[in-house]
Amino acid sequence: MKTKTTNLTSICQLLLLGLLLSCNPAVTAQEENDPLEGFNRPIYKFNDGLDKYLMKPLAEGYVAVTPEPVRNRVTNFFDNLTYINVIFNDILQGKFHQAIDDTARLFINSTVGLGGLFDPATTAGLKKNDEDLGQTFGVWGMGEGAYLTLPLFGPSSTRDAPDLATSTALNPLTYFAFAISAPVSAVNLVNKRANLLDATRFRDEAALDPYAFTREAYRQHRISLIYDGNPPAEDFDDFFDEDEPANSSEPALIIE
Amino acid sequence: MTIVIRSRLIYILFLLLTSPLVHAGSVSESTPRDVIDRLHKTLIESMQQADELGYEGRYNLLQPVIKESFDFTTIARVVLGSYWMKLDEQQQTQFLDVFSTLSIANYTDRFDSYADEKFEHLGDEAMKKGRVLIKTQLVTGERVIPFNYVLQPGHDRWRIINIIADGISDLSLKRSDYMTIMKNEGFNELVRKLQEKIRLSEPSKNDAS
Repeated sequence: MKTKTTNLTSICQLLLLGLLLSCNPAVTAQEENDPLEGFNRPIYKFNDGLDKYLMKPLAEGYVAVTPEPVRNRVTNFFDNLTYINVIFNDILQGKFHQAIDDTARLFINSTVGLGGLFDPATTAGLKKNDEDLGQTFGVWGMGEGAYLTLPLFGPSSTRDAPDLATSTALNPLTYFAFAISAPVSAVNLVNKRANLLDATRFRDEAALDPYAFTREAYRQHRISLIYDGNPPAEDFDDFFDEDEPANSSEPALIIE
Repeated sequence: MTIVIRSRLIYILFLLLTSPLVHAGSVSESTPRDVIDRLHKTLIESMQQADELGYEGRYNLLQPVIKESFDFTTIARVVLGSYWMKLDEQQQTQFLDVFSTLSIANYTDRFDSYADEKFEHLGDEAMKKGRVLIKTQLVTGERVIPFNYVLQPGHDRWRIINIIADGISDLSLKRSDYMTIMKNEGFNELVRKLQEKIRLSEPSKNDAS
């Protein structure tokens, strides 16, 4: 019991720290949103080593021995556990209709779906939503803050990191005894890594500087999530015009 | 001042004379949708015939279509940002060559097996400066991945200048990645790394052609 209280206290401290950093204008003013690059890169290197020698081989082994339908069940189960946090953030973002749907979804999948292993809610027309505290701050108008690479957790930002606190506090798994939650969380981690194998293969094929590549992929992915998968189309062609004046000698520029 | 005004007049006159020709020409022969449909058709073909064609066969199938579908000059200018103008002409040509070869190699490598994937057209959206956003999705088994394309009219036809796959802009990724290399390691290193990626994606070939 005492451990749980301590956990919650440190979670609250982390949340406050994150909020303070996110609100600091000096941090948000950086052009690449990466004023902490000097700290981030060594952590990235550490995470990458851990991934290369532990997580990725584990995930590949897991994929080799576990059929896809079983892995999908595992993913469903852990997604369902995160759903209280989703509903919490639906409400914070003022998406009340979505909050009702998501509550129904959580109820259906936890009961008919056998504790979340199956996803009858989607079949019933209740689509899966992805919300978290970082997205809520984004919806409220907060900028990305500084890009952060967290040890073990990977890419994040000062705006997004506080979600670690709420998502942990609102995940039922947190309140089980360590002997249960630890091995279950380990399965979650390996399964999560397995779901990312395609993405990291893509990164390895394309990235010249994997750190910069991951930073930009994370940033883009977060923007897409904040806009629920439909970011404004204009966001995608900003840089064409930004570069034009300096780089083009076409007469078209004269008349503008 | 007079020179500027005169050059404006000359330019406007030039526009008036040439624009109808450009529009009546090949841009109107192919719509943005046609460009995307053709690309998707070729990618599906590449996947369906992956084994018969092999890497080289797929590369040869995709190369002409990709070269015609993408505006590599605009893309190259954007991914190198302010560094593009600092390169001399020879370096720009070298970068364009390596960059377009890598793009084709990546497509060849990725679209190498078929599991009933299909592309579906979802709709179009007008953007700034006459650009068009074509929204599509790739359906593969239970997964649906949104693929959106930004196209702009070129001299002869519509060409793709960006792909946004699952909410992630390919151009932004490359721009961030390549500009970081330019800043920290310079042009020669950028080209060396790109050539290395080409070699990695073509396991059956010893030399990049």
